[in-house]
Amino acid sequence: MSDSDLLLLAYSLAILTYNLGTLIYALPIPIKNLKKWGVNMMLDGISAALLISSFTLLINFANYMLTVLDANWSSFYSWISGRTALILTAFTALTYINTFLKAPYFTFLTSPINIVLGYLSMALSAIKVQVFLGSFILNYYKYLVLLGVLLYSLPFRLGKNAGAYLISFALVFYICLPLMPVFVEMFQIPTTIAGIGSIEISGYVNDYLGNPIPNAVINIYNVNHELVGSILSDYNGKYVLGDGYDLLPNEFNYSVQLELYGLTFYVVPKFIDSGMCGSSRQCVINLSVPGIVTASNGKLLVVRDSNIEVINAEIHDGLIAITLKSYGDGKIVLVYPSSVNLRELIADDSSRECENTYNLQWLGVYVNVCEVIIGNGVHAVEIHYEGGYSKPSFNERRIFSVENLTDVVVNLITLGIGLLFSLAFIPSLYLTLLLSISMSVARILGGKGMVIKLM
Amino acid sequence: MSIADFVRDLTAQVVTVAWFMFLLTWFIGWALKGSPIPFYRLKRTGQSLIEDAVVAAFWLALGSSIFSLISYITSNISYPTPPPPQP
Repeated sequence: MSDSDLLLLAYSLAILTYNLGTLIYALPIPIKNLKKWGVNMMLDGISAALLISSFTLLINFANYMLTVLDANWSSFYSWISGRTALILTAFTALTYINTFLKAPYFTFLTSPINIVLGYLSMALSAIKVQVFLGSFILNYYKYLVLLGVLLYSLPFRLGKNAGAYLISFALVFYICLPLMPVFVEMFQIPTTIAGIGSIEISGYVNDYLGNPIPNAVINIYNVNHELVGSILSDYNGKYVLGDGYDLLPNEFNYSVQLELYGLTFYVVPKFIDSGMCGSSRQCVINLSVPGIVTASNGKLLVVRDSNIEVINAEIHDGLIAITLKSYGDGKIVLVYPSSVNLRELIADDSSRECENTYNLQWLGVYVNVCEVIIGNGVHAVEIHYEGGYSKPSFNERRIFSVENLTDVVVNLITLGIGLLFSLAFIPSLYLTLLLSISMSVARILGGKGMVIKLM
Repeated sequence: MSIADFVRDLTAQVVTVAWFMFLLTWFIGWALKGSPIPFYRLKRTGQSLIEDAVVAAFWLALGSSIFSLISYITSNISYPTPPPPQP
């Protein structure tokens, strides 16, 4: 049935109503109420005919109001899609945060994140409802008005209320729904995800020659020289600070030391601070330990003292050949786990024995230490060794800034509530307003409005 | 037969019935008024029935004119609206 068919039907119904009114009026029954009914039906017929004839007028009026109010449906839809994108971004970000909170002591943080994720899915459903309502009104408002007119013109006031309500609902929503962005933006809460995962520092721990040092313990101290974290470099000598493993404060300045086989070494750079990454979220800072030369992924460690300078070093499998320059009596220390066997030590083409040896235990690894004193001048040292590698058993202690944690949790909850507020509550409030406006307009059109009075 | 045709047929029948009803009421009214029963209220009822019948007949006769007047007026109003004023 086309628009004009429906209008024709409604018009015929209006005429029928009118004629039924005259029929009732002409009845030879002298009851006052009956006569009144007849008059009412005649008036209903006339008002329905007026409404039907002004159908195009109503539609034009709605479009005119849209232009007067500077609202249009395409901007409404772009606003909706912006909102959806915002929610999806927040959703993705939070899911991402959830997945990268790998350390077991962050598990309690996943609970507020899950709450926020729940809020976000609620907001997403609210957006879905808005999109559905929007497209329903935009596509069908004409049919709603038509149906309203048809119901309005039914005789005996069968559908007068419903018709009036449908007409006013369709018109009010068609005109006012695109204005929702203006209404919602008034109560806008800034929605940004702050705090967590803000910085990620990674890099390699390198020895004097630039070779990575695996399984070295990086001790991190705060400005009060308290140990705040101990991180183990991985098999490739890589370390990661932040990125969900650590909860770093917004501002920090840590000093760094390296611990390997029970010995502690200074590191260049000596400090890691929050300003090092500049404005970017991720940055690479390689830690260099100039005091040691490692071989074969840390199987053997050659420690030089400050009197000794390494001129050249060649590292082969089972052999380290180093050319050293010593200023005065220098000492080199060979440190190796007990799984490594030191076969031969040759200095200046002659075999040498360790001057001083001792054992120590470091993180479950038995470590042998061999000290060799070399005299003044340039020396070529060859170290032959064999054997495997021992991995330390070490539980990392990750940096955990409690002061920052409250910020993060509060931020997350604020974000969730803000999104829920601006995407579900305020639009619902607006829709309720529109519904009550529709009821008032329905009353103007002749309906009685709803029994439940919202405003 | 479409539903609009059905409604139109129904309207025609209703109009016919209404005309007969007007005549009936008219006759009943005069009959009551002219009856040799000296009750004032009966005479009054007859009088009001006659008046109602006349008014009903009047509106019945005027019905199509009213509807065409409505469509004439609204079709004259529903010209394209002027563009909104620019702020």
